[in-house]
Amino acid sequence: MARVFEKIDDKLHGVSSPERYIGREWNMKKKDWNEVEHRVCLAFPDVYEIGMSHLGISILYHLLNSRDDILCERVFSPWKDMEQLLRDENTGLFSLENKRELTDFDIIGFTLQYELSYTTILNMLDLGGIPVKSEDRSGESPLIIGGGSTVFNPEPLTDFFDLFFIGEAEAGIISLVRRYKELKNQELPRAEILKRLSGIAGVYVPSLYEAEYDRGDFSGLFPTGDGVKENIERQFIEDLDEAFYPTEPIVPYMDIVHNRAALEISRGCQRGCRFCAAGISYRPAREKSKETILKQAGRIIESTGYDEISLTSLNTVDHSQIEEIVADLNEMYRDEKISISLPSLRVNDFSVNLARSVQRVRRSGLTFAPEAGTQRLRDIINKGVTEEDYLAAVRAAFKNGWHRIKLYFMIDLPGEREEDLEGMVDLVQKTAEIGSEIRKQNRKEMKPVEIQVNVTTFVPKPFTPFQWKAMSSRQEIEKKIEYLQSELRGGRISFDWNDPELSRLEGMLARGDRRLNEVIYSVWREGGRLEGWSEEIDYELWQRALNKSDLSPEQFISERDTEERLPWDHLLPGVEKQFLREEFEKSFKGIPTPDCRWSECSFCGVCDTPHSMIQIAEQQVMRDDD
Amino acid sequence: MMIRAGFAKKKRLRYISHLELLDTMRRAIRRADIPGEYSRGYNPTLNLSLSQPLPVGMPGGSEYLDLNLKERIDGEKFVQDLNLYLPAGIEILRAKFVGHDNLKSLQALVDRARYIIDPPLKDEERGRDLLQAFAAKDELIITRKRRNKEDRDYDLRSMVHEIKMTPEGRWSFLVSTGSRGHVRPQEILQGLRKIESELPEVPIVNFYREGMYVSHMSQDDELLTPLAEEILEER
Repeated sequence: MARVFEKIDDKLHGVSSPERYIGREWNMKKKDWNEVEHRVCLAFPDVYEIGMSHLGISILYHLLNSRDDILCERVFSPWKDMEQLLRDENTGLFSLENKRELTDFDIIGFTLQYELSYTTILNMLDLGGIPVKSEDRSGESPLIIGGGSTVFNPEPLTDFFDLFFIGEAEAGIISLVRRYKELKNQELPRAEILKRLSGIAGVYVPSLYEAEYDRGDFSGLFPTGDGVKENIERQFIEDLDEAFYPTEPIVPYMDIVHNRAALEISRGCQRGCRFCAAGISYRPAREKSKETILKQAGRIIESTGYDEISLTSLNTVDHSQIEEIVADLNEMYRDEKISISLPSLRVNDFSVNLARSVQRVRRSGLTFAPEAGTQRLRDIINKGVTEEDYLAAVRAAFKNGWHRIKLYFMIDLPGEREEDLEGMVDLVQKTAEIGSEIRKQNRKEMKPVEIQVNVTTFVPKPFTPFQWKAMSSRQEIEKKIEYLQSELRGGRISFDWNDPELSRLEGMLARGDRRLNEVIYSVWREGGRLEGWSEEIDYELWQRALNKSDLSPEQFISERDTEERLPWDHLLPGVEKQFLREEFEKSFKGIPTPDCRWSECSFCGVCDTPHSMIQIAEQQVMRDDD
Repeated sequence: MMIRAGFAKKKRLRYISHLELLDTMRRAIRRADIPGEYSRGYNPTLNLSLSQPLPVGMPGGSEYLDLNLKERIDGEKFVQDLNLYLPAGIEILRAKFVGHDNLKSLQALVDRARYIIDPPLKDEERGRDLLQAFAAKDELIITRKRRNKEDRDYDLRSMVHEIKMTPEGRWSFLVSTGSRGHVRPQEILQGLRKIESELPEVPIVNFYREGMYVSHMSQDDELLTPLAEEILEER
């Protein structure tokens, strides 16, 4: 068991990036295997450098390890060369800490963060010697659980998971881990254990439900036994200041994707962009207080030795104290050569000024996401940015010395017309012209202007107002890309896009139902894995698997009626379906819905007492006092 | 002023690349609150340099680092403090404070490396004969493969300065390293194969870089290390 690593250690020099597989990083928590009651392994269905950049893994790893009776280890997907080595040496996939095979753990918890990583999950189970299908697992098999951002439609994965945790796992993982062992120690049959676990808030045991279909379409999902709850409510933590946050995160050797200290300063975003799934599932937006942020920042920098700290959030600039936080951090670390980075900036000149205050040294590139090319379309998607805002931000960026601007747009948005693509081209050209003009004014101060345009195909996701919308055919999307390709030319502009076929596949899995389980299974059996890496994906496999199951992507990505039953209707994300319907209706009319933190309540359903109601109540009290 | 230190990169961290080692050291120095000096410019980083890179997969018993300082710190304290903050598998062995800035860089200084090789032959006597045959050669021309360049022939024998069998029966080669002539570890095997063509491959993990030395400043037969008093003196 524990000798598994010795078997391959000397052969690791033959695989690419062997440091992915050795563990032993600073701040890694390796506990004595025999001294703890509960053994959990967090599994991430992609390679080390991607998984180690994922904040959720870090939070759960350190949270679980903070309890004396629990040990938590990590495993990532091996790259193909390492998979070959493991199979050749007849060695099971092992954890990085105690180098234990997956079968030695009580629970394996997979992160669901991207639809195209699903086949990799199956592959990791198989490499770990665990039956890929839940129904084939015996009492000795670890409990296979899943959670993460795409857990809001777990239906395509119901054959492979014993249970899902819906929502923020910090809110329930510890009691789930302990409860499982309690039941297991009673030597109950696996099915009975699962049934009892299903009583825990946020736990969804898919085998307790059955899907029905009507003439080839999904028509509903129903509990199969007494005492099985009809709906599963997503769980979340209410107060970020009270919540656990890892201030001694692992410091990888490898140059991972986000190689810096990550400090979450808020969670959720209520701007209400109608395409955004995270904007729904992480409601309500919650802030960490400045005091907590500064305290945690100090501790993280001390414990890691990082020279860069990233203030992460879905929308960093919306933190109500962001200016003071940045100013205080700058003050604290003036002499320690620590740089602060702010991902996810909104498009306005406040953002630029903020960026200026943190990027005093490295002024290379700045990213904006106007998402759509015209006001009309931005109103449809509720991206509350005007062209004036945007152009002011761009001007401020160039004036402050940035010469490279990255722009994110989406194509194939609902309601998109030719004029919107023309508008996108126009906006890019205007951006380049502003840059060149400013450069002319202070020629010596600025490198040549570079505009990097990045276009992705819009993918409708469950629990968004666009969950009923169709995706276009590959040919239609390609035509749009060709148009942009021919228009977005010239020395200052570069244009990059993602494969529309990949987006359509993502869209199918995102809105799929249980029938996709056997498609995913079949693609994996034929060699599909690590499909998030575009050079690794083979569309033929998907086509063949779909044909075999008599299915087509169109069944899942075409337009749906808002009254139809959806495969994820049994999950309750906090936001009400009626709100999504209203947002859907409003989108056609181009009616914006403002953020309720600065405006009236939009009645999304997430608060017991809507925020604006509280305000009104407070005003009422004040008036009564007068 | 600066610190020069010798350190070991042990087997358990042999798969960390040179750049990763540099980052690991930098972060440990920051955690240990050692008063290192930063580079100026847009992207200030600790002024830290290492001796010649170890190939990924090979442990090293006596590697070296130079760190510029903004405040004095004694060698012993440096060893003690930094070891507390380094991951297991990297260990500072000794360090000396240098009060001036007039040292040659490690990469310019170090010109000898000693590699210990797990012999690919079971028979120790055959190995001994092979090493003797190698030593007896006046010349051993081998071909160096170069990335994006033409292959080049060179005389390996003239760059091997000592050949021994260790008491445990492993093969020890002292070879030139650095900018004034450099032997790649696998080229030693290429040379041996000129004598015994059937000699099996030796994976890089069966090599060990035991020490690194400075020969061109050594007076007699004894090799100096970059930490020798003679070398640390201000010139």
